[in-house]
Amino acid sequence: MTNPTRKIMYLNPVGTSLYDQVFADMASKYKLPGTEVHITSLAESEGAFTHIEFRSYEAMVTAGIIKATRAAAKEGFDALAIGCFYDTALHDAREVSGDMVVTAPCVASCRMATNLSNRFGVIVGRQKWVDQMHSTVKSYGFGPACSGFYPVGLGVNDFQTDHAKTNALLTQAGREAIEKDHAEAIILGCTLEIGFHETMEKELGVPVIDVSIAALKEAEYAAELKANCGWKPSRKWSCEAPTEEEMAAIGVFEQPDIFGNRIVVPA
Amino acid sequence: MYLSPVAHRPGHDELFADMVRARKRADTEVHVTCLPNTAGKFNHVEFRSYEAMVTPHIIRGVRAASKEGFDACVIGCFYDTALKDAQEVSGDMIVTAPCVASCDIASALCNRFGIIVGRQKWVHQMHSTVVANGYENRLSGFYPVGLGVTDFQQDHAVTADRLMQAGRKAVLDDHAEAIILGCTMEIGFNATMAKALKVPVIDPATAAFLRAEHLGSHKTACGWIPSRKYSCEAPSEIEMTNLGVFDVDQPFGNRIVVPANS
Repeated sequence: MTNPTRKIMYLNPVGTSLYDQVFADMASKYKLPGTEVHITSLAESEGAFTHIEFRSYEAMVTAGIIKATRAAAKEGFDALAIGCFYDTALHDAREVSGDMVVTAPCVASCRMATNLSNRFGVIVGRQKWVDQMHSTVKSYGFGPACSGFYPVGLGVNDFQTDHAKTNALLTQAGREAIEKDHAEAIILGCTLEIGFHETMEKELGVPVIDVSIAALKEAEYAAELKANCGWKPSRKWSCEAPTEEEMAAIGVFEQPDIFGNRIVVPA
Repeated sequence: MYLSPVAHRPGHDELFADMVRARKRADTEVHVTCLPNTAGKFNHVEFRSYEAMVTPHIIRGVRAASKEGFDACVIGCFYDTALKDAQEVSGDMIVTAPCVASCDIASALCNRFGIIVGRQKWVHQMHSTVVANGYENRLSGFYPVGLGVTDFQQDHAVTADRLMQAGRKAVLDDHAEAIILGCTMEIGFNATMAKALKVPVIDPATAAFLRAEHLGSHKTACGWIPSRKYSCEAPSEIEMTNLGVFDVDQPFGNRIVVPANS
């Protein structure tokens, strides 16, 4: 094991370790040699969520994300990716991340897609997700570049159960996005749509962005910029963090066992 | 490749080669290039008409870089001159530019940023570019300092003073939370400004180079290369050959090679 030049955390904002190994395998394959990645998920005390498809579920795990973000910053991580395409609690987490950069899959993959094309489609699990994700894409300024959202009728927990079925549904939706709505690239709009982008690219002939890879690489990039150029989060005006004294007095920001699981992918 | 869309002049390319040497990953090879004199002896492209004149040469330079097998190319002007045009004919090579790269980085570090430019002349066009990239609601404003492109590196004390004054205005009057230096020739001032202003200050040449390196690395790692579907369709090679203007002349007026592992 070598000393890492940068440390990244990829946080699954759910209360199960069920999928952590999937993301650890992804990190092993795609990270730079000098990057140490910790794949974490939340403690079950934050709720035994296996997905956060509902706004109310997101609301419940948000406090856990804040505590995890603070813990990661204190451990000295350079960057953190919040592993949900809703970009759950991204702005809230950034507020208390200290010198650590925080990113998330939606913003990271929209950036990637708009660099590779002028118009992208987002393949999601269920129609339920579309309203919120559309708002998120628009809020980042990528609304005009989005051809649409394409639900495949699968929930978060379904994507990895029957790979052949998932691949067929995702490819069909990708074809619809390209042929009907003229998408020039595809974003797979759930971190658990992992493992399909390469075969889809070959089949569809356009870039297909895996959002967990995009988030991990965006975090790694941010960590490089921090080390290389000193570009770390602003703390001016809207970026002001609450004082440590006030947070300590409130008494809910620290939780030593906030991570229910952790897989370390060494440098 | 880091391509300055101006003609060669002593010291100019070295500025960017020095930046690259200081910032690149060990295994990255970088070629710092500029346009040939036949493109016009431009030492800046502050005017739209100047950009118009160098645009065909940027296209030629980008095609040449793509054919040489570069993974990514930067067009080194904060106007992001000819970015969309160049992306169309770049093959599998990524093309990026300083404005979009800087806005990406600034918006990851803050909610609201200001851009310090040389002259009011530039603002209308650069504002359009920021809006087109989707960052309008993040922008506190543009802050001209009354210097042209070729003035920034003349008297460093004057430049530093004016940039600092503009940065202070952006932060204190308009609540900017980060600063972007809106010209590649504002290089060399961001670190001292960041210390004084206590907000991130983004050097756009560095931002563009690092973004190119970052995106270029995804080509092999993830297979993410430019789309060629619909609006991203490139003209046919046959038609470009018949037109007879795409692959003529020397594409570059100068080239500094910064080797890997240097």
